[in-house]
Amino acid sequence: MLDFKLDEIEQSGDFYTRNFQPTPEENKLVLNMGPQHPSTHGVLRIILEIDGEYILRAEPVLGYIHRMQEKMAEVKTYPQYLPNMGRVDYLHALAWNWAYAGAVEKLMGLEVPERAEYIRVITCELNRINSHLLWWGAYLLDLGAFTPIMYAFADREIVMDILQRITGSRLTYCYYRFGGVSADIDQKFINDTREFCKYMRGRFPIYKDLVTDNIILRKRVEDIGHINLETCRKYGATGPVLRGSGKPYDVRRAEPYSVYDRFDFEIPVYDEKDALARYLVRMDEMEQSLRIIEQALDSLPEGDYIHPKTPKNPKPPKGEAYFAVEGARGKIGVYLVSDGSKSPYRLKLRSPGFSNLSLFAEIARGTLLADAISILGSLDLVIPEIDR
Amino acid sequence: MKNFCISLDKLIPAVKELDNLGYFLEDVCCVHVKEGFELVYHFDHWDNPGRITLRTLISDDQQAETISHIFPGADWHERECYDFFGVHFKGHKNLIPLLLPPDLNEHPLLKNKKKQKELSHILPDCECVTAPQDEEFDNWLNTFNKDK
Repeated sequence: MLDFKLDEIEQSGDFYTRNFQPTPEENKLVLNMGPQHPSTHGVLRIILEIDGEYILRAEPVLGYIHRMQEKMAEVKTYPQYLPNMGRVDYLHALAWNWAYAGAVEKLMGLEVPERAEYIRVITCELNRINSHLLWWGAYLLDLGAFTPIMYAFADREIVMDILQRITGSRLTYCYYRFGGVSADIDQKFINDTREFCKYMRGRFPIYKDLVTDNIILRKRVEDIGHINLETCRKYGATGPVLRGSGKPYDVRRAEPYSVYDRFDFEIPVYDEKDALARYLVRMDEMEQSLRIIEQALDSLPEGDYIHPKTPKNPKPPKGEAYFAVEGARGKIGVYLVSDGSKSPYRLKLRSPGFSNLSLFAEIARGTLLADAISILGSLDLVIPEIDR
Repeated sequence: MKNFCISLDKLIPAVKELDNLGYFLEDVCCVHVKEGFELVYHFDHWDNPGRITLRTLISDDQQAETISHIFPGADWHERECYDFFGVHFKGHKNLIPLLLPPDLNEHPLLKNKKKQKELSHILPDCECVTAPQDEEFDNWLNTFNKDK
């Protein structure tokens, strides 16, 4: 026989559920989506209050894969912390490599040889394509289409093979060093990359026919999850989320770092503000990345791949530096405070996914539960990056 | 790149001004120093790129003020500061743990007395903290508005 009291049920649930405080009206349901829900991509949990199929309130609960990366920085030396960056965001690891290496270089006044800058651009853009491809496959998986992720993984495999030869790893790259990169690229890398660019250009029309123009997809993404520019600004959203809302803001253009100002590329932007706009921004960005890679390969200078006088155990002078790069999800920032010792005094990681997800509670209000899945996917969340 | 040290009571009006000018919030971050907590706010602009850093200093037992009613995006950043440092933000509507477990009574990024450094050890121009640059900020605002 079941024996429990009603107020005991109301007291059930963990800290966050109790804190959520549902509205006292009737016929409302509080539902926990995640942290094991497949469409939350890892371990995101969202507490939802729903009325039938409609979301009244949503509150993301984070921290299930929190590893205190910022504390780790304070107990490691500068080079020891490099491998951590590939683990913050495992999809666009090289952009995080870059943000951290860039911040340390900025503080030390260390110059990066031109060849190394070009290698960084090429590998970072290859990694961006890889990240977008996985997002594409996974997003469609969320929406119920299984085949595309197989295509995406077949393409990703080529890039991973190319990058593995140079960097030594397939996913959590630790390739950039202070003052350059850890190994030079060779002729085979250049040939393979050129071949991949040609191959990838041939794939986009297939993807367009197979997926982008598909009526089933269109119905799931068109006119869903509108994010207006004011919301983007108030929450600090960047990357494809912002560009899908009609603002061509890209760190590569706005505060050009490295040699990005030498390449001719466009910043894809769509005014529709919905999930489809964010989808199309990413699809176009892959093509732009190919353009950048090809230009960089054409004008690849000879020279050192790492600054010859890079100290093994650097001690940046006291002071602070902020270095921002454009990652696949938006503006990645590393704020570094140094006291002149061999490990950082304070290191703050600004992750784009963190800000992009924080606006979810606002835009999910009043949407269908099934659309919330579509909106979450269109934000391109990588939970380890959000939780750090 | 602009850097202003703002006195605590001038911070909210300053953030409101940046909001009016169309700046967006990059992040809110905290540094534990001997003098207390240094709060650092980073802003940037879509059309006039150039980072604006506002900083203010609070003592160990002082409370900061929330800016989440101006920039809702600051809500999570402030919760993160509360998690890592135990800094309270007055007026924050939902100051509960964000990344750390709710039953953890520690603030991992607090530095013990031995490891704490004075501001002069980490900031090259630390005089600004003792003499806040509120006026400089106002002047900069005026020139920004004129240029517009």
